[in-house]
Amino acid sequence: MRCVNRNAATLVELVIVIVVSAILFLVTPILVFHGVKTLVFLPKALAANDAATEVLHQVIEGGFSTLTGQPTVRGLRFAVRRSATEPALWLAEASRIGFRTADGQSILLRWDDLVASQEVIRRSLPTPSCTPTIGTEEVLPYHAQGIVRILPTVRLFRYYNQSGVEVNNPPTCPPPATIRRVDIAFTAQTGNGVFDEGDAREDITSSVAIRVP
Amino acid sequence: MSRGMTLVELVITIALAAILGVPAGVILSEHLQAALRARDYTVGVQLARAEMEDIDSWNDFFAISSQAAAPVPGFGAYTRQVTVSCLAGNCTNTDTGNQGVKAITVVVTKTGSGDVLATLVSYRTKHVFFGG
Repeated sequence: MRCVNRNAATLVELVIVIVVSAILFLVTPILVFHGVKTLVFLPKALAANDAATEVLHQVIEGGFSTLTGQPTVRGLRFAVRRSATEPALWLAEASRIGFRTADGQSILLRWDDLVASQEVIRRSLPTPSCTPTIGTEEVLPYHAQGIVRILPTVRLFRYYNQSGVEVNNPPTCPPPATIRRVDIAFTAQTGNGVFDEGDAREDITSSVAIRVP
Repeated sequence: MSRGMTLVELVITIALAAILGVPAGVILSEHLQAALRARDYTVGVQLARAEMEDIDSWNDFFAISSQAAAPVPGFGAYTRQVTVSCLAGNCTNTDTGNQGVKAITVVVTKTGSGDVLATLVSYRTKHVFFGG
């Protein structure tokens, strides 16, 4: 009498199962891990991009403001000399810049790294001075504080004369009237900006000409 | 009674999982590429504007000239080129009676692929008096 075990698998079936399982075990964790990392990275990348764009727009063009009595604040593009004793720039340092606009605003932009991992750019309207007294400030952009860090690329602000030569380094106060262009360079990043840690990073730079210094 | 899955059922399950997983992976990949493209366009526009503002800050009309395409310092993933052409008048004569208009075009591309990220055009004039 011949015994037949109908519940067992044949050798071919076993080999096929092993091969398919091996493929799945090798590929799936890598795909899942990469997918999860990408899902974590994507919103941070968009947040960094949005913050970088907004910071540059506010610094160069200006925009809506949350400061009391100031619905809008102009940017560096509108920096202009108001009189012989009121040049366009009243403060020109690596991480701070103060400028005047034609409509009477005196604006100070400064990089604030007081709180670790929450570096931001702040804007205020103090009285022009080499040591300005800073009152109420607003964060640029307000919605990114604590999420996106703004880190200067060596120096946040650089100054150039009409020949394209860098000036005012080290800074003097009052700044020289030869400044014709301001470069802004920074990195917008979440956390440490390392992709393998699920963080995003964006390096960006732009310039604005000071037309009536 | 057998409570396990047959090989055919297992293979069908794997095939269905693959059919569902591939579109999800494609969507995820497209989303990632879109985020990276957004970053490229943002940086490209700002690099183009930086060059245009630099040129705009010069007071020497005759110093404005074309620049060959080259990677941007500090931003090697982006290539920038400046093309200057004399649009009208005489752009080389320094006499005050000679008027001239230069067209300045700044193009930023992705290094390697050559994809155009930003194109800015501006004009500079010499000895041109506007208005009556």
